[in-house]
Amino acid sequence: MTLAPEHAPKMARLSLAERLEPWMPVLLVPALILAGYLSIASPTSWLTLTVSGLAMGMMIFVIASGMTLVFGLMDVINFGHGAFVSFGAFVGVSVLLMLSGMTGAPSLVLNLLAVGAAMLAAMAVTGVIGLGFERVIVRPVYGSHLKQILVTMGGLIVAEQLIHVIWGGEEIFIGRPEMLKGSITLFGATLEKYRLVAVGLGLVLFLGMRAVLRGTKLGLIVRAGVENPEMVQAMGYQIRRVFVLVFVAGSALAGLGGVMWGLYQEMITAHMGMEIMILVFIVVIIGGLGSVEGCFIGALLVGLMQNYTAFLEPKLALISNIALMVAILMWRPQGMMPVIKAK
Amino acid sequence: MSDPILTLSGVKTDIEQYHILHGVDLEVPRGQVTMLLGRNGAGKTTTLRSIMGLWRPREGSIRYDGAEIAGLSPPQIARRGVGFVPENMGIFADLTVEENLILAAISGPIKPDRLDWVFAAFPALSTFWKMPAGNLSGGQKQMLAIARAVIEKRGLYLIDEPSKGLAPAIVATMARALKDLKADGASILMVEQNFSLARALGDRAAVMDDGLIVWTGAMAELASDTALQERLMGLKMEVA
Repeated sequence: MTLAPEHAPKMARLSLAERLEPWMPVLLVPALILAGYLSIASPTSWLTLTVSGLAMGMMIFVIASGMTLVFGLMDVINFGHGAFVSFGAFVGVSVLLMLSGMTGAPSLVLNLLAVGAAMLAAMAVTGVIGLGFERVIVRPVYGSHLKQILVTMGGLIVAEQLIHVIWGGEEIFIGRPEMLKGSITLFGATLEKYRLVAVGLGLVLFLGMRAVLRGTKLGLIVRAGVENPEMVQAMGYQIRRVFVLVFVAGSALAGLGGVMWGLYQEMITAHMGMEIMILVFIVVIIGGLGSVEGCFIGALLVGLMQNYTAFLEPKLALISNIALMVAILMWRPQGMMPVIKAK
Repeated sequence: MSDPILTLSGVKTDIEQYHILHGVDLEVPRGQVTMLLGRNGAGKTTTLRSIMGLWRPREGSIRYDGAEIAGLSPPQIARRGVGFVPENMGIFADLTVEENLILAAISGPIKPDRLDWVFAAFPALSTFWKMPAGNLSGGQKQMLAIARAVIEKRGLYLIDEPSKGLAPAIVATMARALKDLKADGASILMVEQNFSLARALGDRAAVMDDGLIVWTGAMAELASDTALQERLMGLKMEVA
């Protein structure tokens, strides 16, 4: 082979505004935290609410991340995603109740081992349920959003009824493990220990997910598949298999989120998944369909907004996130970090 | 013609309720460049997509390297050694140039000699190696699309209108790279509307009209016969 002729591409430096533009959604999080600080007179209350908002956001992210990838990859709207949250919570709490000796012990290691076991069990069960859900409910309705909404909603109702059959119709109250109860004081602010753990765990999961998506070939296939699944296939990759894998992983993460959410609320119900799905949908939409980074930022915004508003004007707490969604969609109709889909 | 790498016999493809290909018969010789020419809407792109399995033929046979591939899935066909550059380039805009090429190397890590060739043919790709492919210009995206197909040696390259919408200087760069590929013994089936480029690259030509191959022969024969060009494709041009 011979060398091609000279070619001298030129790189022009972008203006500051152009360089900042992609980071604008990221800057929204500190901007909202700053707005919260200015709005809330007490710095200690602000710090407590901020940690609470971040913890809530992390949990919503864990639940929503799989859903946004499933939508991005195969254009599937899964209203049944909430079922994995509920199932995960019930499985996880059942494990925690079985390990009451470990959760009641005044040992952080034993407590974390018990929580870890509960999370793994929840992920395993919801992963398997997700596999069956994809095969039986989702696969026959590829390409039809209306059918997807109807059958996945039906799947959610069936799953809730199954929970009633297995665990009974009553809510279950669950105490946090001994060493995760209570709070610590930082700069005069009271911070619940569990919320700090939730923030840490959510952050680790986000970084792990990002490392997989950015640093492995599987991650590249997933990201490319979200943009243009046909081209991924034409390059030699079975996108359907990747989709099933992502669906199972997304279901497992929802199950994990269910355990985290259950411990956060200290109570679980069969319809908890359906209830949280409103926030999950807001996060997926404002983040940009198919974008894990957008989903993460969206979840933090939703968590912070919910907590700040509930403190400042409780009556507005319910609609504050709807208003956030409207504002973001007016700014960026495709969401904050949309994946450019191939036409 | 001896030892074709690809043979299409009576291929009929429908898109929804429309019959697009009405029985395409085509042979692509090994180690040569076959240009697939014809008016807009003649069925050229559909032919490439049918070979690639992206649209499944309703009838007919597609044999690649002696084996039937009609009915196989696109990944199965790609892994048998068919590289595809679609008309819209199919670049993954969110992935960097590097990530696009890593993904294209389906059998393992990118081989250094192939990467050297890509960088020599398309220096812009090394300049923008870590940049999201969505930030590239149209010409650079087309370079990346071709680089992705050739980053591993394939038995056959299907290339759909590589010069479409590109500036003449970029087309010239593209043409030189494709000539290098040809000199390396690659088998190529290329759809091209730019007749000058087709004439410069093609060994053979097949002309399509209304979902059928209406003429096949040596590219030189078609290039030298302006009356034939006008009859087959409506072209009226000076031969340089």
